[in-house]
Amino acid sequence: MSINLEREKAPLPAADLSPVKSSLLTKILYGSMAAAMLAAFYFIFLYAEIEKTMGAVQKIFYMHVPSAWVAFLAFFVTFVFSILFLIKRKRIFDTYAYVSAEIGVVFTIIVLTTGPIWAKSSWNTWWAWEPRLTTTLILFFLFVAYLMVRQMDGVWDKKARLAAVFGIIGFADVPIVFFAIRWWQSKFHPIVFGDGPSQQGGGIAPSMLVALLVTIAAFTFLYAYLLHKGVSFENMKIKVDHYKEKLRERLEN
Amino acid sequence: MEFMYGAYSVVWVVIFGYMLVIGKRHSKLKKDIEFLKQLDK
Repeated sequence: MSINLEREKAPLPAADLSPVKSSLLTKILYGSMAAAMLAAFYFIFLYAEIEKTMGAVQKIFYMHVPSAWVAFLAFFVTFVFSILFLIKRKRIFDTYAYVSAEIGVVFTIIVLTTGPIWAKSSWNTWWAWEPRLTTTLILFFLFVAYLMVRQMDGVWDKKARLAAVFGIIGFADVPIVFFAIRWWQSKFHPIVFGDGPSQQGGGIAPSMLVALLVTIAAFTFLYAYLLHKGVSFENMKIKVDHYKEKLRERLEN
Repeated sequence: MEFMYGAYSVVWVVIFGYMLVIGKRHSKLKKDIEFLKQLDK
């Protein structure tokens, strides 16, 4: 009897359950992102010249392309961490892969909404089943499936392994999206960079290029901030779940 | 011009929407932590 009482009083294993606090890295990333975003708006609206044919609508380009860049980067990070997870089986790799995939899906939504708005203004249609749009939509569905796998019931490591396979297969679509307009000669999507013998593509004015590069930098900081924040949150959630499990075990005893 | 405003609005609605979702998850986790701390006392 006394043994039982002792067991009931036994403390839970020490776990740091203090809420997620902003680390120095979070603050640095947030500050860099905010400064870069302000600079991006300056370069987009005040520095970059207005395109002669399309006018102000061309400025959608400065949100559309960096969003696509972040989505590709996020899926690449998922791809790398999925491979690392399958090799090393460490939970932190799975966490990075999951958080990055979620951010990738968010930015793919931006790509798939700003694209049709651009299309309506320049091609006079919201959607065309042309190679880049179709492969981007497939990419979106692949990673939505990835996130759905994560929400399934079951043991986390089984889900993580299945999701890792999805993450690796899903990333295979990224180069297809990028090269789609080169391989299948789309008449809608212009090749801005890396076309022709000189690999200069259609090219853009230097002021537009500067605005684009600054916006890409700002979006990359935003991605890094969201990834860092998301991973810290997921790590805390894992600790809380673990603690709940221990508490349940203690109450059952 | 409306297309440009529309596109920029979509971008920021999606980004802030995602941040809101993260914030909600965060506050739920905080509640869980508080509950566990109370339970453990």
